[in-house]
Amino acid sequence: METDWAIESENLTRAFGDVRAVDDVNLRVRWGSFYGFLGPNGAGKSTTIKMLTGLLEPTSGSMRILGESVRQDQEQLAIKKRIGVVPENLGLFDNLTAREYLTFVGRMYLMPVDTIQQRSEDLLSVLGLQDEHKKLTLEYSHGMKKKLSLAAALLPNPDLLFLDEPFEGVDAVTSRAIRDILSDFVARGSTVFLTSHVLEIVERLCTDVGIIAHGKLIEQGPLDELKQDGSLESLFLQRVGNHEETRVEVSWLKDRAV
Amino acid sequence: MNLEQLKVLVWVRWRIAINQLVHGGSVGAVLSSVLGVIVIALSISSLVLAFGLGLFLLAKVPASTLIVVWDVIMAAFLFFWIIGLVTELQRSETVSFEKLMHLPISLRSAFFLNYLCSWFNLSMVAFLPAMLGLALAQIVTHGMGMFVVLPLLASQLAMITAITYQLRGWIAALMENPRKRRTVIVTMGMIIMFLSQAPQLFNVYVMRKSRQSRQTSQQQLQQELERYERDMSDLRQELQEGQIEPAEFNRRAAEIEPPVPSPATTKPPSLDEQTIALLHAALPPGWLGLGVKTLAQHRYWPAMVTTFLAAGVAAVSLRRGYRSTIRYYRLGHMHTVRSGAKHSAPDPQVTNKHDASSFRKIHVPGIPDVVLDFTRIHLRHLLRAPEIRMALLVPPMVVGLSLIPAMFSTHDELSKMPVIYRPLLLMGAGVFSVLSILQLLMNQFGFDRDGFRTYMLVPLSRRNLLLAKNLSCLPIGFGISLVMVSVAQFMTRASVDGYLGTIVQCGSGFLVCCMFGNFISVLSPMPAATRTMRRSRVKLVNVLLHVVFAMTLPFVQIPIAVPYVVYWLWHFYGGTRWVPVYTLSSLVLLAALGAVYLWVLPMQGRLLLRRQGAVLRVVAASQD
Repeated sequence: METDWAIESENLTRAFGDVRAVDDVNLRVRWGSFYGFLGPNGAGKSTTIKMLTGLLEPTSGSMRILGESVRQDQEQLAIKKRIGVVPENLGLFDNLTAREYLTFVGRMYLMPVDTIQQRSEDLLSVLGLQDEHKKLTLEYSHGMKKKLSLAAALLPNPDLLFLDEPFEGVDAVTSRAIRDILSDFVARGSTVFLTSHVLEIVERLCTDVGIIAHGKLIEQGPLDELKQDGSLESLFLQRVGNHEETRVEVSWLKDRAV
Repeated sequence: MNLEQLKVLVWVRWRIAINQLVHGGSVGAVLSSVLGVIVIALSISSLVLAFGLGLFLLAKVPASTLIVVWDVIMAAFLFFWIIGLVTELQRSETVSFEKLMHLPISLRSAFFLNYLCSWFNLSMVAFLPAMLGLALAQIVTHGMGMFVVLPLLASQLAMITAITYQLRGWIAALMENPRKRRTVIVTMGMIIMFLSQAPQLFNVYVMRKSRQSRQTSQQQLQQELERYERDMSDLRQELQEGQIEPAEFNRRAAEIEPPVPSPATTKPPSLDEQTIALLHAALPPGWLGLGVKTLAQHRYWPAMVTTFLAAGVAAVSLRRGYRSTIRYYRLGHMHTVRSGAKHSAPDPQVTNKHDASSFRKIHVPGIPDVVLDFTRIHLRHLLRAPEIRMALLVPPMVVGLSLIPAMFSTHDELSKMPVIYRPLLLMGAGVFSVLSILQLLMNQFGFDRDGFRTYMLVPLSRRNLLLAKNLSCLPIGFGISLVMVSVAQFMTRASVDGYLGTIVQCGSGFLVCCMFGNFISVLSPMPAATRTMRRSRVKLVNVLLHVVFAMTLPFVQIPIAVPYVVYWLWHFYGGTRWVPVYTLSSLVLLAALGAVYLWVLPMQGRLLLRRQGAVLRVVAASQD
């Protein structure tokens, strides 16, 4: 059943013992939007994305992904077939080459071999990995692993893409390549949900943002409306907390004496 | 699961194995190929051998022998299977759930496939053909009724593998926390060591009981014999003195019973059949032996019942294993913060006070404070690493589990040993204890891994760096030695001079090991895989160097024997025993070795300075 939202959650909560890592989060992600999910370290971004992708079970609350209600007692294979995920740990097998890994993922989505090969060539070429076909992924740099994981997520041509920190630890060239691919992906009407610390990239790419802190969603909506005349950074600092207020002087760092 | 997906999962496992082989280097590929051929040969030969054994040797043996044969096979299989389990735990799962959960795949089927793949290991390759061969031979020799042994064997293996797979999942979940991971590995290693030593301990216990029983019986027999001789002598005397007639003598002589050796001296105690059957029924690994025995006696029900029971246990274990795996991944149980735990920031003043008090406590003349601080930090690092704890615990455990029972069993012989030779036993315990930290001393930088960068950057002379590293091992090595020598002293009752002298000797042994270990640590560092003491990516030259060094070590340790020779000569030529010759000569040797150590250390420091870049390249590379 189609709704207005590609992702929708009601009071989504995840507790670890006494700690509520995600606390009553009500997400609304529009179809075809580029949604940036922001928050400081330990705010609950990765926990939220894990719940949305079925990697972690919520303590309470409900979710709808691509219009389908997510039931925890089922394996949700139908939803998984329509989404692509770049998980936090990237999910790669160390002892496979890039092509082998893409073949594996493609076959898991039950794609025809010819299609897998064609798309793999295209993706590896666009992401600059075509010359690394003999290398095992354990020999890849962190950035190359990120690109391969993104290629695997894009391979089945999903309707919705979840990316957990796709720009963390990647160089400027790789970052540009990823941004271009994602922009094209959204332009054709698909939805991207990404978490990131890099505010500049989110500001440049995203149409919508959500800000989470201490497990609570404290801001959500179209980026232009939220930041109004200011920048995303000022909005983020204003909502999450200003460093100036909590700053502690390290006086000895100002002295040259040892 | 879709059949296509199943095929892809099998394919990906195969690709991973092939890639590991091909990308492991030419030597690795050759070694793996050779190993593969050996494994196949082992598998085929164990099948043929077991079949032949069953056909020709076990065809006519009684059912009570068959149960022993199957028990031995099952015990050996279990032992190797558990060792394989621990080894496997140190690696990550080839196709872990974490890498599949975001894909459109049925996790139930993936779990089952992973379980099936857990069957493919060396223990199974070696034992399954042997068990199969033996079972087939018994079908041939005992008739088709024995056919039930095949499902019985299958269910038994399914039960063991399912239980261990469930256990593996549980332990793997525990090991998610890196600190717990190392502790789990250490604990598992210790459990295996104790299990492997259990027969030895049991044997020592039984032998001791048997010897005691034999001695008691012999004493009783002797008393009986003396009583018999005395009575007969009295009777003969009465006959000679004419107090009794020959007829009376014969009658009374017949009444006096000659002593008969008690059964305890002629036959070892044994369990009756009913107890054996009960024990086998109570212990699931014994079900296979019990089933085979009853099948050989043409009783089918026990075998069929144990088959169904084992299959049931396997099914329940798999179900529980699946549920706990899913719970672990999807409920994130291992990330759970303990309920009621307080989250408060540490009081910086308290922390600083604690740190400040723990430092600057001890001042040792001649050793700079910075070296002592470094020593304390390194010692803490050593003591907190469970893999190092395990490596340090193994030798005392080996000594404790094998030497001490042996000493107990030969206590009488030890008490008869001349006092002059007893320090040799103490020295053996001491030398063994010092050698226990040799693995650490011979690869001092390997276990620093990336931390070696810090050592390179600290403004500490390389001489002092080596000194601090050696000193940090001293409390460990000396502590183990002190305990072991004291235990040996308790057992052997050596002289006070022998005891004190041996303790000093341990210091000398430690110094020699330090000098030796410093050289090899600098010249031939070995990379150690993270979280283990296992060496990884080792070059052949380094291995050869370590072998040469290890072979040289006994010769280097020869000076340690000098104080004992002095002690022996002193006593041999009738010197008074009130002079502590052994302790004094040991102290002289220690002082001499200390001087040599202080002379060698700056040289070793300069060598480290020259080679520290090379050492860093070896030890600090990524090991995962």
